[in-house]
Amino acid sequence: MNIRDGEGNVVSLGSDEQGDKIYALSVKGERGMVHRLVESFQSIYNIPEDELNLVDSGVRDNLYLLAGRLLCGSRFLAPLGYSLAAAGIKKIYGRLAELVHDVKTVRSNLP
Amino acid sequence: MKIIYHCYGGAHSSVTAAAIHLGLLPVDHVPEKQEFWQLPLFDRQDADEHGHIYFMGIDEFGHEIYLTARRSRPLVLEKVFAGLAGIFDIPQDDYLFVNVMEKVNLTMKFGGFISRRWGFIRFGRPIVTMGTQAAYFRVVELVRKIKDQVGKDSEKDSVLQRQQTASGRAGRSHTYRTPARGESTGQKPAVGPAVFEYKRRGG
Repeated sequence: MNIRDGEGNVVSLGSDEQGDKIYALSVKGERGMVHRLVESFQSIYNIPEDELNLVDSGVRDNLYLLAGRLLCGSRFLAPLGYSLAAAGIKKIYGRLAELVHDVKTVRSNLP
Repeated sequence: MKIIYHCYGGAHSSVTAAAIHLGLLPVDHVPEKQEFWQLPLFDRQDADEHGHIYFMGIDEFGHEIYLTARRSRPLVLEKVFAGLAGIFDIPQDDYLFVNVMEKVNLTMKFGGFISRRWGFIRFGRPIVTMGTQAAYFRVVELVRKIKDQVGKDSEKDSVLQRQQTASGRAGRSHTYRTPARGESTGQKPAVGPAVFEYKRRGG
């Protein structure tokens, strides 16, 4: 939420305990297109499927998050937007944690 | 180098530009409607294929020519691709995005909308083809500029670059079809084809 005009940027967030590098990517409303783009990129450069794993966490967006994201663009209502976004994240935190756990489990089971 | 032509739906202007680049369409006169319709991807791509990068062929300099649809988000396409390239240490000069939308006229947009969005191909395709014919030399000029820009690399370098590219997954030919009327594209056989097979949903 702190990144302005960051749509489409691939932001590095660090590495996890397994040494996998973690990135974030935000694209409004073009989920399918981004998936196909990433898939094409892998094909063009012959990158093995297990080298790049795109996880869509956006399907769990709720109204708080959407409203928060909208208000964050406003100069005066940004604080309210951040609060709403934080409430939205809290609301789905359990499911996000579950998603991350699933991804990590799959990654750790790879040969 | 990989040259990726992109437009809104990846069905008309980018297909035309890529075909001109590869010599599948002439540069000295406007092609007939049938010549456009013979192009494998002309007025074909649907919304559920947007974002997929299609391989069209290899030009006379050894550059790989692709096309894609990015709807109204050209920056997203370029940023995501650049971000992924950065992750895998792929140099920026290994790929070039060319936006063909600026050469698109209203007739193309209208015909494309009718054909692709509404699905009235019988009515939309002739209209969009007429628009493409009207905008044809503008697209030719764009392609010429791109070729001038990238053709400065020596062919020797291009061959070396291609040899370093690992083979693709699929064994599709390096181009979609042979040039019409026996025209020469100036293409040479692909070295280490970096092609991929697109599997249609349910196909």
